[in-house]
Amino acid sequence: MSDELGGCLGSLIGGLIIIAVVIAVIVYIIIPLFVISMGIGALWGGGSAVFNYATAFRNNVRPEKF
Amino acid sequence: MNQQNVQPAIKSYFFEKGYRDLGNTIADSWKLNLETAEKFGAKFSNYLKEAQYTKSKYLFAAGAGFAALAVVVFGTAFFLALSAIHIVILGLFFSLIYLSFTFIWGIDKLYRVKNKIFTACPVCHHKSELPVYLCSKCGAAHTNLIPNNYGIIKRTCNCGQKLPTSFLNGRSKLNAKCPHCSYGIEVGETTPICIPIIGGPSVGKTCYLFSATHELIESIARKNSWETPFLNRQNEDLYNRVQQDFNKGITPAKTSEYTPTAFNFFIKSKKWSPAKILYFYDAAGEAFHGSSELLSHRFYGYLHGFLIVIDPFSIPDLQREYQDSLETHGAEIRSSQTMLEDAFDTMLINLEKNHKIKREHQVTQPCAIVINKIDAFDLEDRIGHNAVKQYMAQHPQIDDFKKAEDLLIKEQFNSWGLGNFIRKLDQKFKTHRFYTCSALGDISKNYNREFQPYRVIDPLVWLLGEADKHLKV
Repeated sequence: MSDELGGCLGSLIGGLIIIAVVIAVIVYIIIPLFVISMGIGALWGGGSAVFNYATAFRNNVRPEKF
Repeated sequence: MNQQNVQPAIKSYFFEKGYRDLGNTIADSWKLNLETAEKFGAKFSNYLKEAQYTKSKYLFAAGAGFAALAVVVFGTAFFLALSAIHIVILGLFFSLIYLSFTFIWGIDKLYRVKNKIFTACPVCHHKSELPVYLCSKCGAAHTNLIPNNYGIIKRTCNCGQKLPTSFLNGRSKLNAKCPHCSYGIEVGETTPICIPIIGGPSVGKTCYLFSATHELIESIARKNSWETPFLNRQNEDLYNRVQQDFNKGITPAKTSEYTPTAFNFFIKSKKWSPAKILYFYDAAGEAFHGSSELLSHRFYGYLHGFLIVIDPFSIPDLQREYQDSLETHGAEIRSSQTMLEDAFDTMLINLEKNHKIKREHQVTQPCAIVINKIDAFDLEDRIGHNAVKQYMAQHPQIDDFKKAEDLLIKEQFNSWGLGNFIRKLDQKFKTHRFYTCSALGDISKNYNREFQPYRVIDPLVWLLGEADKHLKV
């Protein structure tokens, strides 16, 4: 009886440890990686768009004196 | 756009090129974003191919793929945001420009409406809101030189010359021409006052015009500190020539033009702006023989007053009464052979036929009926001022001289068989007055000497005062 209980508890703790590790990996690695990659992506994509818009503006807008 | 509104000028940035620039900027920016994304997409493919041999290239491929994806996702979001910001800023700025454009356009329009400014061609009599202005550099014709999509304060002619677009910055100083006949318009942007001199042949229209003009310039204008420059050299020469002849007792040559060129001079004063420009139309009396001859007298469509000159000896009853005297003094008096009523009817038919004034409608412009040659025989004692004084003595209830003069003349006209003329006059003209004058003075006393016209100015002063409150004296 006590052996059975011990085996079950062991499995439960093992399972909890795995869940904790998975959560820790998500919270401390995947989410930060996602946020960082989004940030880098936004900086890169947005920066490129701003640069391209500025280039297009410089090439096309020629206001005359009035 | 209407072909007529196409001007030989460059369209204002704010009405055309500004939008084109915005569109091109957005399109180009989108194109550049796509190019950037495609560039990294191509790098991604290349690195992926190379990764089959060198595993580390997977890392480069991932980086390039990430860069391409970032440009597509975030670049598009930023592109949309930047385009929206550009549109909003440009919209706000252009709104300010349009607001100022509307303001200047409104001021310019209001100024012209308030001062009753329009352009009347002195030759073909075409009326237009503005003349065709000519570029001061290349002479290109600008038909609609107002603040519009070609420029708000100034417009740029195709030759590069900047032209003012409103009265505020000197548009009226540009050379101009009539939009209909291309005759040079020199009146600028002034308030026109147009008065035709109406009457059959030999009633004394030209003599009246120049006698009255002389008195207006020499007496009324001086008294009121008005300046009266002539429109141009031709008008000044004509005036001086007639005055020189008048000083020698020579009457002007018979007017031969059926469609008269206007006789113009300005009236300027420090009390008002812009100046007034007077248009007097003195057509040959024969023009009043038929309404078809008056078809070209387009000024009836915009005139400010009627001045009908009557030769009392064109009234059949008076002609009969003075037959013997006229045979003796015929050369001096030169009575008109056109019946007063005929000339008057021709004018009325012209108004109805050519100017859409319905038979039952009243004309609101004032009408002065001037009985000329009052110096002849005993007319002064019958309808002149002597007679009016007598009439007032007989009718003490009438205390106004002008009213008495009108009543007396109407009574006399009725007794001379012109009741129909008086009825038509009352019916057609809301405001009319009778005047008597002598455009040359008593010729029998001043034969071959300077003419001494009298009472010629009263009808003109009344008409001018009715036409424009500034000219009320």
